[in-house]
Amino acid sequence: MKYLSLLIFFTCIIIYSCNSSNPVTPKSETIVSNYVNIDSVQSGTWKFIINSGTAQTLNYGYNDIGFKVYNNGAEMTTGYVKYNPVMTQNGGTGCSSPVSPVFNYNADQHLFTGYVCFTQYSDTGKTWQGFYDYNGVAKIDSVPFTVYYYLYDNIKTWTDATGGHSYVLTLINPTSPTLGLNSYSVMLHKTDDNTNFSEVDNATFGIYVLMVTHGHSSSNNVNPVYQSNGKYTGQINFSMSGKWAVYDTLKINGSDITNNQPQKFNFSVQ
Amino acid sequence: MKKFYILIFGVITLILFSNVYSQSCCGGSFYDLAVLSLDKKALFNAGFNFDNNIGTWDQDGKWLKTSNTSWQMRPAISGAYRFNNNIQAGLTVPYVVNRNEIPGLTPQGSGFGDITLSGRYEFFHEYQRFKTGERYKIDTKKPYLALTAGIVIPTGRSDETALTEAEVTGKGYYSTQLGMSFLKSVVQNKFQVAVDLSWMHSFKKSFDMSYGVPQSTHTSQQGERYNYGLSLIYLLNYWNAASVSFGGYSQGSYKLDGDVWDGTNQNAMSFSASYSYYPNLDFRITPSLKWILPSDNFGTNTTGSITYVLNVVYYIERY
Repeated sequence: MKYLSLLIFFTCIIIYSCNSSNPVTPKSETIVSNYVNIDSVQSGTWKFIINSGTAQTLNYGYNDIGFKVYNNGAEMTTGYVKYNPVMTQNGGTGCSSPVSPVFNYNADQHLFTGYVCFTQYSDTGKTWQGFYDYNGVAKIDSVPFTVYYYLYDNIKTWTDATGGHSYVLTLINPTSPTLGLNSYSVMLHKTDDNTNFSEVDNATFGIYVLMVTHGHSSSNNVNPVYQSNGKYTGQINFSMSGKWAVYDTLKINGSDITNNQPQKFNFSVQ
Repeated sequence: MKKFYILIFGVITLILFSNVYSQSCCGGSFYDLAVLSLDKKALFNAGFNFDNNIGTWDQDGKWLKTSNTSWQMRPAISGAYRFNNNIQAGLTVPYVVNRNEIPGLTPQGSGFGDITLSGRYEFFHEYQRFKTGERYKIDTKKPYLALTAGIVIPTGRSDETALTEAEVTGKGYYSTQLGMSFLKSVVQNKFQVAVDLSWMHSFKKSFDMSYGVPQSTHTSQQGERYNYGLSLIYLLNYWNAASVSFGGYSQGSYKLDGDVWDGTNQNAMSFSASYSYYPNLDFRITPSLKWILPSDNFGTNTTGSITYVLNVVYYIERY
């Protein structure tokens, strides 16, 4: 009888465990909607206050930027801002990074909003300077600033061997990947001189999502499609914890611009 | 009655090994061998496995607790047949039910899993009769020793055609196993020690679909895998027995499109406890529990789970 009781006990454990479940609500993608003031520049009566919607500093990779502009203390709420970041290395010829062609006033944010995708971070011999322009009437030039290195892998540059153009692919989301479905947003820019970057609006994406540790993919991945201003949005599924990689094959007019070597972003999911 | 002791030891030990090895991840499970003792002609086994995934170990052996509900339930029917004193073969057909609560996706799926064919060549049996002159004697020195082999046939639904992770019920590639099984009584009719070692080879898989989405053609192949297990078996009386085991495996890095992906090697250790009740000579009920230590450095690059197993076996006598 004693052993029969043990048998019943084991069986009860099994049946109980079959009914247990622990559904969880996933963490939502981290979206910083509040811009924070990170710097300001002033010349004469004009003042530009620089705000970031992505971090506390200007960082390597994608940055949401918003400007407040004042003249004699009065806030400007019409017109536009143009911003040109220039990096020089050891005093040589300058280069730039993908940046919004124009920052228009956003009444919801009370800012002139746009983006910068910094392709280089400040380092020994590498110096960034900002050139600010409000409506063509107020300009402040050559103001040094710092771009910090961001720890995650979020920007890719390469040259299309066939077409001869250089491209910049910038990861916008996810910055804090979570288990399950994640929005996947990237920007694509083209340049021929590393100074002027144009948004590419006609690329076709094919993504392959790889669970690096085990060598398999995941379900319900959606290739990014063009939205606006060089931005493409799709969906990726990190179906388990561990290291993942997203491979992007890009085509323009049917031609593979990634030289048959897909660009890769790495993610760590916990 | 001695024969009955031998039978009970043998069956418990041999069936236990499959539990020790088992680590299911990303599809069906590995071998669930149905093994016959010397006195039995055939068996039919109704088995039930419940694998509750509780976490993973990363590349550095750091334990990460799983935050979502993820389990696999595998009712399985097994059969085994003994051809003679040395050769037997078995077949296991599992049905797989998955629960994998990935936010935004269908959480449950089911279907038939990968079929396993297994066999073994037994060199020696413990306490086997042998003839010396005109008399029969019992050999008390030789251990149980067998060469084991098996093949997993990818009859389940793999990640090529499944639409969500929960629908994956099979690996999608063939794998074979070759090993040795050793068992020796330390105290006759009371206490035994068993060791099992095997090598598993997975064959290359070529695929051009991933979760129903066409891809360019790729090839993948799992690394070579080595399993080990050590068991201690204690017989309480004629009708009841218990055992504990320690086991694990080590697997090399996988290949994708011919390239070895460094840092993807896997290993894990686990423990098992099993209890068997024999209502009579032809019938056995065995609940088992397999667990891992959810701490750093008890695994690498793999999932950790707690597995509950129940086997109900009916035997057909050989003599």
